[in-house]
Amino acid sequence: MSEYRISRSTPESRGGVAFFAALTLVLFTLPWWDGDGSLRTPLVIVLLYVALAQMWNLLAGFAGLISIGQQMFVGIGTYGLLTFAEEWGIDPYLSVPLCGLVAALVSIPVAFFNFRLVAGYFAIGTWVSAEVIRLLVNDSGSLKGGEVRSLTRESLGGYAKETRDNVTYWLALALAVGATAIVVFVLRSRVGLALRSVRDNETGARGLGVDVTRTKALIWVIAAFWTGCVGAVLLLNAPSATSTSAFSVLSWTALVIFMVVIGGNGSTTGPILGVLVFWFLDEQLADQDTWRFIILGGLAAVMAIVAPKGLYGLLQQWKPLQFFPVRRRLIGPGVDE
Amino acid sequence: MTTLLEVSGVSKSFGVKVIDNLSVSVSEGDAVGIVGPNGAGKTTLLNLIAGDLHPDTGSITFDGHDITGTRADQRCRAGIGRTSQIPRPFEGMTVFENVLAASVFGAGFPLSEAEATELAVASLTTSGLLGVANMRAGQLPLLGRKRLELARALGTSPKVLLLDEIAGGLTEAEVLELVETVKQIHADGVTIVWIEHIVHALLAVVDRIMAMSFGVKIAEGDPHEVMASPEVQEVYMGVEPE
Repeated sequence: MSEYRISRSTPESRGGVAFFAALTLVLFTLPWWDGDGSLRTPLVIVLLYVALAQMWNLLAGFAGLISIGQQMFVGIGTYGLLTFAEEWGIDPYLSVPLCGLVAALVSIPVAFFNFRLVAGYFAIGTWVSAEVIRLLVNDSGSLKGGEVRSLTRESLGGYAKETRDNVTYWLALALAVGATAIVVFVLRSRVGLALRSVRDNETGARGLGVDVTRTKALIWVIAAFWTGCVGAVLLLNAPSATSTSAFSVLSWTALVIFMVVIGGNGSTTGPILGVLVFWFLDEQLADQDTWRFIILGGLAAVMAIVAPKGLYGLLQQWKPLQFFPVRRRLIGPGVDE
Repeated sequence: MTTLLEVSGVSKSFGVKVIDNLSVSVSEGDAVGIVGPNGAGKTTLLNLIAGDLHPDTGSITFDGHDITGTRADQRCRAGIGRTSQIPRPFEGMTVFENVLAASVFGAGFPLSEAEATELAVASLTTSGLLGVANMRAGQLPLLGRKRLELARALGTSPKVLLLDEIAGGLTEAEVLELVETVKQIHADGVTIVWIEHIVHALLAVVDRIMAMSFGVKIAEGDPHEVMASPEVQEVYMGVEPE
């Protein structure tokens, strides 16, 4: 047995994990104590945005894949659910992971084309890919993306409204917690070691045997799967969808980028902070109409310049806390600390 | 002695020819030094061997396999370890995590986390970085960064180690320390190919020197004879004041 071992946990990470576990439990029981659903309704969207932000951050903050095309997977999830539940009569809740699967499958050819592009070109390429898929959905005779479509009572499986609202909420919670857990587990794993090395120095990582393309592709497919699931649950939560709303670059990518930039990219806690800050600001600016986006956009630009690592980055400068146990410390004779 | 690395008739051009029909053979257990003025194509040659660049013509075989068309990560796993002239640390990661990444991905055979840790610890010990294992790599001074390059390359358990001006920019005392480390690595059975301007460091380790100028080999053989040869004196000593 070697006298050297790796430790990942720190005092604050033990506290952080306990805090998030307790928060998850409290949120899970919400339908039993939030009688009129006044908290539940806004929380569904907040939780789904946490899932989207975690996935975008996994791509951009860790894998260096700055995608402006995540709306393609949201849209695929939405139209996947319409097809599975509405056309084929599959249980809507069982259809959610199937939607993720379709998004993951589509992400493979999308990667095939876009992974040839670097940085800004990749960003534009993903946006173009999303538009192509939106147009295909829009013009498709069976998907009817040009019309307003919604899930009918029959396809919702005859569940009572109260039950449907609760299940949708729990699915949103599962997607938010699951997205955070995926990021933590990925970072703790070998893939995370590869990702962080690629992020810091791609040529150096290659020279040490890291298969950069395979690592990025894996992350790309995971994020597509999870984003597709979010797209399906967004439809469960919304009365209707069109190809324009389901494939909205503003709603499902631009706002998510804002949240991650404000909260702090390349961290696990940052995206959660960003979603909360965005929600607070958005509430304050609700009656500002067009000024809302000008103010939000201006704020993101200022943050990107003065605090490129976001609010979490500022917190790190003040005190380097790590709320999720992802870093490895070597413990053994002759090692400092 | 079996041939480990065989570079045959390799050329590389970036508009101008940087490597011109160059061949060199390295046997298992060799320690080969490469000298030549700036711009002679030394680093390009190393990049061609490591797979960061691909030759226009010629072939490279390693350990009996033609690796001319393979990628850098594949060559690393096959047993080619390298250090860069300009260190490429993963600054946001700790020194230990840097070397662990090398062991996990570069060793070329599957390792459990405990085994990879053992290999990383051994590499850190050899490179003299064990004490600062938990320091952020971005905080290391120059000598530390050079040592980290070495530790990471060792972490991939290489058959051949390509060193690119690892002594450059260090103080005299630091150079001597590093020479001892490289000597030990060679004694442990790792084949060495070392580009270096600091000739006395090279002479302390290598048993053969190849001199290059403008992409061609101008001399090869016994280190002292090569350094004393008129060809090397003319192109090398004239240009390099040190």
